[in-house]
Amino acid sequence: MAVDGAELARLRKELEATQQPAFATLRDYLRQVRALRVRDIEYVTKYGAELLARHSRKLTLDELWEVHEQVAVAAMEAGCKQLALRLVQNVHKRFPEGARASRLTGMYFELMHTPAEAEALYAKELEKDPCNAIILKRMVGLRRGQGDLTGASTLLREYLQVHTTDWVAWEEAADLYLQLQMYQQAVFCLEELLLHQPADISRHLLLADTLYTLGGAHNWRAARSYYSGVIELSKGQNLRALCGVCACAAQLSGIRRGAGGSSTGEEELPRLAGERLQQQYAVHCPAKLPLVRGMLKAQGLL
Amino acid sequence: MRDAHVDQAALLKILLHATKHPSSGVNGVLLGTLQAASGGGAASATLRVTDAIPVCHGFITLTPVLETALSQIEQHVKAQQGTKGLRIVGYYQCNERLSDSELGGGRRVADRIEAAYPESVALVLDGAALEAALIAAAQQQQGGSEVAAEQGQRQQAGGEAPVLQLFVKDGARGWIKVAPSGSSGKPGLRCPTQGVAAQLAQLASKGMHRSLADFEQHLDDISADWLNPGLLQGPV
Repeated sequence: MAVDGAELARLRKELEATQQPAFATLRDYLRQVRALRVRDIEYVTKYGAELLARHSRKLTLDELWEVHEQVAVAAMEAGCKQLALRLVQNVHKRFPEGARASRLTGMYFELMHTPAEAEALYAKELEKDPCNAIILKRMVGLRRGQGDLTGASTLLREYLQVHTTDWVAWEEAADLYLQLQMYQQAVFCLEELLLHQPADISRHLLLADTLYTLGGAHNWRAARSYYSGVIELSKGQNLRALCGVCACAAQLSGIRRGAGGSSTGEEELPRLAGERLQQQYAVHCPAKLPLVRGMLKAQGLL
Repeated sequence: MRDAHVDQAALLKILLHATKHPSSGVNGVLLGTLQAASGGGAASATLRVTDAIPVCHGFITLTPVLETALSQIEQHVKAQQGTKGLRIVGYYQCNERLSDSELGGGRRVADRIEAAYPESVALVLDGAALEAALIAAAQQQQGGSEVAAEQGQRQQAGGEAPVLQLFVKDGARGWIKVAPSGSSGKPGLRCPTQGVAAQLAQLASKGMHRSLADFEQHLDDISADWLNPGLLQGPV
């Protein structure tokens, strides 16, 4: 099975097209979501529940419990309490001892607004194994669910000092810092992640957006170079990056005018990005072209 | 202080946007009019929210997408010369956590909008109120147990709570929460409540929230229209 976004999109279409999707479609869709680690809560809940209700006997045992875990988490995120309870109970019955099952049971307590019980359960697991990554990360989630973002980020920082190559945790840390508006710390996490996955376009964009939000000439220049990297990687297709370069140029031109003088290279990039934007809108979305031209004029690029 | 009226269409768009992204924060820009009441000055003007433009989902404390959207929404408003007095009137936000109805990290963006469009307001989804209204609506629809029907009646008699929280900028004090206006005639948020949850549930069961596109989605897929024409005009 090819693991890529196009295959996932195809499977989603296939699911939408029919009232009773086939077993293989349901199974492959859920597999793709797991492999790509995308978030598709509504569909995972709906079609996962269907797969488990109608075809659970056709799954291998390993996959059966993996799907249970996947669908239970999605159902809890979607707030489907009854479905979540059923799945969590199944898992708990089958694995009364495991940390993964405890994580699910704890998440259910969190959903039902009894975080103290969840915390007690996690504490018990940590007594058995103080370094259990699954449970330590769940503690972060617990704090987060309680709205204690600062507490969550402290726990996560401690965790990352030990598990320095847990990229999912670095992602979560970046996300937390962005919510806390601690942009400088978020930049640090995102740079770590880029070292690990240098070709990930969405990560480049997130870092660029963070630097832009942080502001100041130095950060706008850094943001611009990440945006232009994405333009290169996407062969000029990525609208976010094109808009980003234009926005950086508008910010920087304000400063340049103050300082006097400018290098021609600095003017060339946004001019090209603006042209490319107009081209794309002219071809694919002509109705919005006047709005984009208006924006470019306001940015002093047209 | 002034009244802020929210039209049903704008409210439903905000709720559909939040429904589409249940596990992340969303935000957007409010369009509408600011009308001076007859005889009164700016202080007694009425702010009316007629439309909501969904902008971001996910990282709502980041500004580039919102700035790009704002700039194009400005152009859109300019182009709507037929609609008299249409302007940007505020910012809306639905937080990641349902129980969180504070403006929080959105202050920065709301400030920016308020600076460019004076008198603008901020609306934040009250997730707890929405959940209560949805449960009441579901129980009513099922016509279930007597207890449920009784609860429903009580809620109707007392008038459901608005599912949005109004914030206004007050000079030095910054953004402050305005208590929902009851029948006391005090100025504040005027927002439809009756049947809103039932309507949202109906729209969502038709998958309308999936048809809604925000500006961020448009940047990923140019064919997604952030103006969402005809979204609520379909057979409801």
